[in-house]
Amino acid sequence: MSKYLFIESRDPFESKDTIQLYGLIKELSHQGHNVALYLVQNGAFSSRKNAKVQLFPELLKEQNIKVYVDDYSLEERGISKDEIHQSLVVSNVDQLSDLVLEEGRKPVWH
Amino acid sequence: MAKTLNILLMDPPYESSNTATSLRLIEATLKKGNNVTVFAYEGATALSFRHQKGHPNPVKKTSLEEEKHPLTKDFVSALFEVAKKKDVEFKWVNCGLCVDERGVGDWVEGPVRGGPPQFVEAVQKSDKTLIVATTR
Amino acid sequence: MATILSVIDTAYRATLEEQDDTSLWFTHACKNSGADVHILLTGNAVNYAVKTQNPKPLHLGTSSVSSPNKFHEDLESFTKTGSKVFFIKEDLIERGIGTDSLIGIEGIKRSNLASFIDDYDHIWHW
Repeated sequence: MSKYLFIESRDPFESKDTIQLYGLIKELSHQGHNVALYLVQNGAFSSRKNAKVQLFPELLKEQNIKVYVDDYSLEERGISKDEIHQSLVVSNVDQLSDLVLEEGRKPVWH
Repeated sequence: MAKTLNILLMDPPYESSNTATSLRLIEATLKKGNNVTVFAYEGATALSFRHQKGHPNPVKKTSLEEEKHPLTKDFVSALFEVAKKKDVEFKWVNCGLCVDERGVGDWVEGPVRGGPPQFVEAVQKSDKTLIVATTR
Repeated sequence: MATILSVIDTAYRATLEEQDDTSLWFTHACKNSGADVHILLTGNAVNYAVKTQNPKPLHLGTSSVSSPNKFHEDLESFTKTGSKVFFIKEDLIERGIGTDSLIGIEGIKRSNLASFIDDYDHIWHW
């Protein structure tokens, strides 16, 4: 089984292919692969619990998927930790660097 | 043991938040004692252009000195300093053809000229390759 | 050698003044430099395979873009290196493009994308 890191810089409100990426991530997970989704820049807009984002809440329930959100991107956009989905991991660029360089993990910027 | 990240940047200065995120990632990677190779492609070749200048801000009514407008060439220079302090390898390759068509061949100290062969070599020699492409 | 899938999604971005698609060009240049790289066209980039693309030269005063690219020809040139070009079938259908409009490349269903990309060591997304 493979490991993936998708760095999602775009949001599903402006970019339809973000939803398609979420679908791909779900399918990779169902096939047994380990997927890290790292939300950065406007990708952080998906993190609000009250945002109407297709597929995103389902991703958070999958065991093979871990979703991170960049703390800098949250603060820049005034999104507090109380506003975001509980199972999201608030992360930082150091952890992003670790994920990118993690043995066996394929990084993809989206 | 130090790992090597190979990263391709494409966005020109002041046009995309990809630039700040990528440079943050590069800095974090260097600070952790890893090596980084940057391939600056297309508009990203202007990130290191020596002749960038700051300016005052008439909307905010700040002077040149007060505004302290960030210049991406300074970020590039700063990353070289980080690498030097951490004693890790940091290479910045500006795509030569892209440089020529944009006329940004006068860059700060550090970057070198290159092309796809250098990028492919970096892909083969590094642990990971990340493409940060311009979209739309 | 590591295999690379170059996923080209963005289309017609600055392609007139570049006289190229820079993602397509770069992928081909990497192939020429020895990379084992193949292309997947997604989103609007599926249109690059349409046989009837025929941009006219662009004239601005006395200046001009004399040879705008026909990307289906660039893709055919790329396939002659031995590398493959694929496209996402649903992206074609969504855009109302029939497969008979395309050069001879292979379509894959979005539902097979996860398995498809897993065959590659590196995924580049443009």
